[in-house]
Amino acid sequence: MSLRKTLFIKMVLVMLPLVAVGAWAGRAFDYDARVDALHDFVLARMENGGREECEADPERFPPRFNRRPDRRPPRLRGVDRPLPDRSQRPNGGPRPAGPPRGLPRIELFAYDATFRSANQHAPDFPADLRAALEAGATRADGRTQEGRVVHVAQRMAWTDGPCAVLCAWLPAGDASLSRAQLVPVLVFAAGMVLALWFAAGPIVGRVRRLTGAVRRAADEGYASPIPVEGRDELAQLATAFNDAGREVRANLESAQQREEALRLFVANTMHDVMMPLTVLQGHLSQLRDVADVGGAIEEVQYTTSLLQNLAAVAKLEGAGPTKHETDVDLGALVARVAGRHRPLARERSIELEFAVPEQAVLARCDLTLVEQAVSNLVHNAVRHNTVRQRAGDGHVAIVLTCNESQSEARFELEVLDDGPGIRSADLQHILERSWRSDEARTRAPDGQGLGLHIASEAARLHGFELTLREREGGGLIVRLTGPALGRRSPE
Amino acid sequence: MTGQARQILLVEDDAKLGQQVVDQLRAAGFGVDWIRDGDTARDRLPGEAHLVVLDLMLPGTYGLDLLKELRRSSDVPVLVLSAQEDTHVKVRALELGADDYLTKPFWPEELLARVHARLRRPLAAPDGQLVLGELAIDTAARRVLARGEAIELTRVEFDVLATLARRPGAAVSRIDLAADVLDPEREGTERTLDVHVSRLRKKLGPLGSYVTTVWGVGYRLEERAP
Repeated sequence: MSLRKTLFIKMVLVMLPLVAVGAWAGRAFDYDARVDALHDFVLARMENGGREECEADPERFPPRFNRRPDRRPPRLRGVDRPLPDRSQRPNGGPRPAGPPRGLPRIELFAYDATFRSANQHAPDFPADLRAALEAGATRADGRTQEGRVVHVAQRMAWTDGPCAVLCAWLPAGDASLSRAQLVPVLVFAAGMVLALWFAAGPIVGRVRRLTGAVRRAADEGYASPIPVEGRDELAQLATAFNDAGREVRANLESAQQREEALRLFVANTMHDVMMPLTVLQGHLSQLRDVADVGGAIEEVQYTTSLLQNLAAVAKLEGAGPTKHETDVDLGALVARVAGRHRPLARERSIELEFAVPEQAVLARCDLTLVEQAVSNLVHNAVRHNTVRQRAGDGHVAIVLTCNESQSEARFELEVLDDGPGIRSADLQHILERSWRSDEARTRAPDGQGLGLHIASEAARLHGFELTLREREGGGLIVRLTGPALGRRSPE
Repeated sequence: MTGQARQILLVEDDAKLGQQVVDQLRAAGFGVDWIRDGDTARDRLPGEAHLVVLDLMLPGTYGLDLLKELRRSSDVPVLVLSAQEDTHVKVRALELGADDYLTKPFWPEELLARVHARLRRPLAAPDGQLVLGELAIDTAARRVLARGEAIELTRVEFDVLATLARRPGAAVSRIDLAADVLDPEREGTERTLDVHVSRLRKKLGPLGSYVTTVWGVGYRLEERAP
């Protein structure tokens, strides 16, 4: 749910009890206002000739307002609504014509000190008011039992005569009167909610900008701080994000430094190991003419291949494969790989040949990874061609071709051998094995091992396709295909 | 090769490896000049060398900087020795004008093969004459002389021979050969190729052994004793 909607709902939830309290308070104020007004009215009426009028003719006091058209009916401050329910008249007396609509209607009757009225229309003196006056109060107020009429009693300054106590009724704020008080409260509440809806706009906007800034900062690896607007809680949030971002950045940098140190260490170690291996290969090569060093040559080649595969794994398994893509001349790559494996092939009496198109076949890829992948395929083909090795006429061939159609060019690199091949049942899942599995590491004679999986991963990383199939007449064909940049004449 | 030894300039700081490479190259008949650091190499490059074998991790001037400077003034072939460096190092070397690179560890014969490949002279004479042992091919006139005798070849047979002769010693895949010489609509595809090659061998007589079948690949033209 959006922030604005949440604020809206919360505002409504807060405003509802406020409106209720407001209405209740309005009712209470209304009651007090009516009571005060009634007392004022009674006192004013009695002091301005009312006593004389009452004592002169107590049976008919008070004369009805409508019988004195020259007199304006009394009007109460703060009460200017028409009294809607005429059936609720407290004295029940006949009223040929009441005060004009829009004015309140007061009923006033005089009682003697014993709370009896000479006017036959006067209702019994309200018991609650009587109790209050008898307890010594000079004035009392309350509601009739229905609760819709306010009545007040006022003991006058004189204690004798038929007009010692006056009692007045006035309809209290009824339900509709409450609605009248509710409307401004409701309007006020609605106004508040609407105001909040619009006032939330800039804040919601800032939250959105802040979210966008945080996302951008995350995309950039928290390289730059997000802008801080103002000094309020949102600004504090932005500052907190910046602090967290700095922390993340520091951790990232520390991890990158460690990774870079490790990468350098591996590169330097690799360099240090490859130098003596090169010298060793040179010595073995010299010894070949005078001694049987075939086994040693194989071991050196295997060790070299393992080391190079370790470097390849480091590239493939790093914090995101590090692929340095360029336009690679696959023909030159094939020639290098063939050259590297010729000594081993010769030791094993295996003829290793290759063919590449006259024009360079270029593909967009990481030179080292793809060269290692092809190298692994060729190494496997040479190493596992044990059947023919014994016969002394084994073969391994690398063939690079380029298929150019109108829409695209694809290279096809095939490594063929006439060795034992792989059972067709194993062909499918041999590429699925993880190089971390023991099976992959096993140096069993028939295990294709680490090399094939690195080839497979390297192919996957480049979007190339690596497939294995049985060769007609025995052996295996491993094919690597992918998009080529077309053939180019050598410069 | 002519009697005059071709000169190779080796820039390599490792004493053992350097000595070994010098020995290997000299044994193969090359004259070798060995420089052990980048700064000296910078002063002496390119010299009279026909080919430079350049290690990259050198004391003094870095190998790639040497290569960059060298390429300003010389086209001498450069073979870079790289010790399993990052891809970008190899790529940079090729971009800067290295002709080839060799990853350490390498076999001496691998090095020699690359050196020979770089120093091999083109067989094609300016007038389109290709000469391989006792076989002479005139691509312009589409004539073939085997031991001095003219041989009548069909168009396809001649194209097969000429295509193979353009890269003597290199295997040519049947796919590429078929694509180069056969009209797929009139002359069929790869299987037809074998028939043409078979006829070509017969027509070449004793020199038919020059055309060899390469297992799993295709054919190759190389000078062989009949």
